[in-house]
Amino acid sequence: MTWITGYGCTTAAGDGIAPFWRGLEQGTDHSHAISLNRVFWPHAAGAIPAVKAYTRPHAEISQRESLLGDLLRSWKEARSGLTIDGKIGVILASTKGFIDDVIWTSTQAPKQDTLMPLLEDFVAKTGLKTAKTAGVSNACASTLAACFLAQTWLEKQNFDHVIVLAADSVGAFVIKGFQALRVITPDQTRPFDGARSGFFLGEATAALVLSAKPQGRRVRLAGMGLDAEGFAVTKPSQSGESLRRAAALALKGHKSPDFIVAHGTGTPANDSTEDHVFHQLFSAPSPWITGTKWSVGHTLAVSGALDLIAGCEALRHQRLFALANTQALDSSFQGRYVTTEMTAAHPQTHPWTRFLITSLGFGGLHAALLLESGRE
Amino acid sequence: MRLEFAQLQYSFPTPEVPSWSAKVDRWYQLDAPAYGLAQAFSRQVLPAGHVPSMILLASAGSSSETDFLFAKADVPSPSRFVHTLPSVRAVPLMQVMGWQGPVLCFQNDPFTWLTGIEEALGLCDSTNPEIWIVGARPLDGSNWSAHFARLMHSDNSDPSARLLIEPLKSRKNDPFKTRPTDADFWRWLETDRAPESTFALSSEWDLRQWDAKAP
Repeated sequence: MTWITGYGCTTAAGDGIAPFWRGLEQGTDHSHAISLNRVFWPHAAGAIPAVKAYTRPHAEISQRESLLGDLLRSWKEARSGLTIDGKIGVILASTKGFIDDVIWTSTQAPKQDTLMPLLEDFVAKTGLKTAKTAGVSNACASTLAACFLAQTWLEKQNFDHVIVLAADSVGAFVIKGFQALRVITPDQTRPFDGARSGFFLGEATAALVLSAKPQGRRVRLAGMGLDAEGFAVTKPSQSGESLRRAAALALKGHKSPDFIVAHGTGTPANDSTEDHVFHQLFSAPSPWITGTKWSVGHTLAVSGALDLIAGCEALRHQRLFALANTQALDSSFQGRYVTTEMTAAHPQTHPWTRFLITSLGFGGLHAALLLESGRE
Repeated sequence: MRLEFAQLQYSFPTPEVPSWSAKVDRWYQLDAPAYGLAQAFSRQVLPAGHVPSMILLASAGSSSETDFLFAKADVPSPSRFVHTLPSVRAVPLMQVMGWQGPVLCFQNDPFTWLTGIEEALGLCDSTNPEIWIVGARPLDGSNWSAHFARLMHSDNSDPSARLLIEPLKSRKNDPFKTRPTDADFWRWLETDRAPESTFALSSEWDLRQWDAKAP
């Protein structure tokens, strides 16, 4: 068995789970702007696009140092109250790491890896005695893919704990890229809304402690699915075949989840595919479906970790958060989405014990995770 | 378990239209590793007729070349940007193979390729009986190498396979003082062909070359 025994995060809402959860519950959109002080935009990167600003303190440090600092804060929160000993592994999930520190001043393709040195920094600072480390880069499904790998280390290779770190920051490189893809919304991230128009990028780090024995948070990794389809690079297939297979693997042998924390990017393609897949998997009414990107932005490789944390907190509090920016659900959608009106009209009828997370990554690399509270 | 290994050397960019161009949307926008993996499969570097239960993409060097080209362009190219995610290399390969299934993309320089093999040895079992580890690396100038390794749970190695590598439980009990790198592996593969030559992959596994065609 694999247990989620600890977690911690830093997001646009602030440092720690508390502001993240509070923002989700209160319907606070922290993602609607990117602070020019917080974005890594070296002079060599060229013109800065017009973005609105929110204030967040920013010191003159490198992207690598900034990510490390945030990871260490996430780790401190995650490990609080835990006994972490025995055979330990660490996996880093990230898409571009500290790319902005390196790429803009390079005169040729840089030899320096912008992921694993961050992991090495973390291990050095924490003094962890690790049996194995690895980096996983499955685009926006990186965290769940890292959890897949962590589960094999725990259940087949006698690891006692595997720490899954996730880190991505918003800088010139990813802003230019996602702007070129035309998926940055001009107004708000509105998942599953009929008028959805994309997302804002968000920056975050997270630390998840996966353990072979229960302690701490005691949420069990009940099911896991990983699948990929070679449909297209930047959008899932309309049928969502690969996502359906991944979710079906995660759900195999289990009852339907009480709720789903969907990828929900607010792009036309992603949200249509997820709704189609949920409709195929679950008879009406579907489990409640919500998401986190409207509140803290699309945090790329970290998004799966934040969805996991949000779902665990929903189990802990026995309260589910709404898609606060979603004003009018897409009329063609068949899922049961948690909007502000819906939660008021449909009170919880039984204790929640189980939730599903779905992650969709560029290149059609998809993943799903089923988590369950309590039972050993 | 047996590991079949093969590689294809190729030049990139190339003016030739590949035989698989109809299967891959905008094949001409692929980066060198993505092109190479699709080309190597279509050229049957591994014996035909086998289907993996999982693919591990071991992207040494990440997408460094593509990152640089994206950053330096006057106008940011969306097609180039998506190839700055090393996992995207799996897409044209899957399209050419006509395959769907679980894919894990590793990045662990300077141990990326070896990490792929090591993790495959940990994942391969009766429920996951055939894992392919794929990757590409620059050689010199415009020359690249795309490499495929096919790890099988049961010993049903293909008699037409060019090179077999046998994973052995290591006699070593102590952790490595210096972990072998991908460069160490390529050097061993290319220069040391003695029958009993072994490569210490990890504290748990050694690799031994076995030329299937040798008398």
